[in-house]
Amino acid sequence: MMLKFDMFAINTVAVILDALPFLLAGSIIGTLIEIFLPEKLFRHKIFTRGAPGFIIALLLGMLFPTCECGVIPIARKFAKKGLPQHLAVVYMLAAPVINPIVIISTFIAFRFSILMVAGRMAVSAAAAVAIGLALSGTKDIFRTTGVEDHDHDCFCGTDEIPAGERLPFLVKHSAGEFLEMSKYLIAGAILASAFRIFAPKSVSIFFEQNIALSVLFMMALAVMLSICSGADAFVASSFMKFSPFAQLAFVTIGPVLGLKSIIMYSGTLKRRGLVLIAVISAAFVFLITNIIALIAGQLL
Amino acid sequence: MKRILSVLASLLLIAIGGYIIYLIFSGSYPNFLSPKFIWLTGSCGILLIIAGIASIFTGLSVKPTTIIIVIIFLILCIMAPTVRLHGLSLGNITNTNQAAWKTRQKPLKLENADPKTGRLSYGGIEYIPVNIGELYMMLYNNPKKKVDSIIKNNNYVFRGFVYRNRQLEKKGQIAVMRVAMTCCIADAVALGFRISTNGIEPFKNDDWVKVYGHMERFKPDRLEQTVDIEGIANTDLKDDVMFLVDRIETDKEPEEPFMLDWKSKEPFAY
Repeated sequence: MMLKFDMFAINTVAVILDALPFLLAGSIIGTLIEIFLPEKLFRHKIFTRGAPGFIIALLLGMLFPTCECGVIPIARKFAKKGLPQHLAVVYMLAAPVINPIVIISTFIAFRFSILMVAGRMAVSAAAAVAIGLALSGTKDIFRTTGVEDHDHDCFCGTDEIPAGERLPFLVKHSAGEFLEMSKYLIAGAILASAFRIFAPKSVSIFFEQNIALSVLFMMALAVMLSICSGADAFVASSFMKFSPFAQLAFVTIGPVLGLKSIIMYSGTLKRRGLVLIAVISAAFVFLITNIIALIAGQLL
Repeated sequence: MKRILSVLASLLLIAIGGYIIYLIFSGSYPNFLSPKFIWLTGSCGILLIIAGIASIFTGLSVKPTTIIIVIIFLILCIMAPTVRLHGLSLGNITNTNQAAWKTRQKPLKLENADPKTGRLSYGGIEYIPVNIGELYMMLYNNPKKKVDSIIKNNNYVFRGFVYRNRQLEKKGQIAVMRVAMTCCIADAVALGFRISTNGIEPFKNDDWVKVYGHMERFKPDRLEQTVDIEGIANTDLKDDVMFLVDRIETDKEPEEPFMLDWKSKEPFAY
C-alpha cells in the first residue's frame, strides 16, 4: 500500500511537472497576444465566412504549437482579442494534435505509419469542426472570470498598453493566469493518477476481442489516464493486443476529453460549451473509428 | 487580505520553481520525468522563481481556492519519494540467493565487445547488444520476411528485470522486462519477453539480469493473468515470440533503468 501511495504521489507530481512548462509557455504567449496582437486582426471578415475561418483555426496549432494544458490560456486570449468564440474552441481542440510535435511523435510511436498520423489528424480535425459548428452563433462560450477580468488596475478593454507598463503587465498576468490554470491541472492530475494506480487492469482482456467494445474501452482509458498529447501515441501503440482503430480512438479522444482537460475546461468554458464538447467529441470519435474499422474490414 | 494572498501566491511560485531546481540537483528528477527534458523543466523552474520574486512587487490576483490547491500539490511534492527508487522498484538488486549462480557465470562486460562491430562473443557465438524496446521495434516495424530473418539469424543480449507470477511459473517461465519512458512516468510502458526457467531458478522478482540468446516464434499463448507492473500505464509481454536463453547472468541495475532511446540499427541504445 505504501508503494502504491508513493507511486500515486510520483505519478501526480510527474504529470504536473511535465505539463508546467507548457502551461507557463501558454500563459506567457497568451499575455503576449494580449499585449501585441492588434484587435482588428481577428475582426477580419475571413473569420466570419465559414470554411476559411475553420481552416485557419485548425491550422493555428502549426503556428502556436502547444499541448492541451497550454492551449487553454491561448485560446481564451484569442477569443478575447475578437476571434469568434466557436473558432477559438476549434483551435483549442485541434492545436494539441494538429501541430508539428504531435505529428512527429505519432509517426514514430506508430512505427512510421502515415495512415495512423493521417487518421489521427483527420478525426481530430473533423471532431473539432463538428463541435465548432455546433457552437457557432454562441457568443458566450468562454467564462469571463479569468484573472484579467478581476484585476481592475490592468489595461483590459483599452487598445494599447503603454510601453513602460508592458513588462510588469506580462509578469503579473502570466503568473496569475499560470496559477489559476494550475488549479485545474493539479485537480485533474490527482484524479487521473488515482485511476492509474488504484484501478485494476485485468478488465482489459474482456474488451480486446470486439471492435466496438475495444474502442469504447480505449476511449474511457484515454479519458482517465489524461496523458499529454505529445506522448499519448507511445502509450496507445503499446496496447498491441488492441486493434489500430481502438488505438486511434485513444489518441483522438485523449487530448480533447482527458480528465485533466475536462477539469481545466470547467474553469474556462460555460456549461453549454463543456457539455457539447464532451457529448459531440465522444459520440463522434466512437462512431468514426467504428465506421473506419467497418470499411477497413470490408476492404481487407 | 488581497495583499496577503498576493504575497502567498508569489511565494508559491518561488516554491514550485525551487522544488524543480531541487529535483534536478538532488538527482531524483528521473523518478518523475525523462532526463531528456531537464533543460525544459529547469528553465520553467528558473522562470517561476523569477516570476515569483517579480510578482512580489507587481502584485498578483488569485483566488483562495487556487492557493489551497497549489499547497496540496506542494504537499504531494514533499511526500513523493525524492530518493532514487532503483527505477521505481522496477528491479531492486537483491543478490542474496545468487552467490552460487554468480560464481558459475562470470559476467561478460560490454567493454569486451568487438571494437568494430560492438558485438559480444561468448562460446563462439556473437551477440548483438540491444534493449527490449529495440527488439520490439524490430519485430513490429519490419515486413514478415525480414522479421523471420531477424529471428532466425541473429543472437542478442539485453538487460532487464525479472518478473514472476504463478501463471508463468506453472509454464516453467519467467519474464524479463524493462520500462520505456517518453516524457514522464505517467506515459511509461513495460515491455518484456518470456523465457524458460530451465536452470535459472535463483532469480527473484526485480533482480536485474543480462540475457543472451535468440528469438523463436511459437504458437500464441495468451496469459489469463494480467501482467501488472505497479504504477505503469500498460504492460506488454510478447506471447508469440519466445527468447531462448543461452546464458543469463546477474547484472547491476543500469544507471538509467528506463529505456529512453530506441535505435533502429546497430549500435543499439542497449
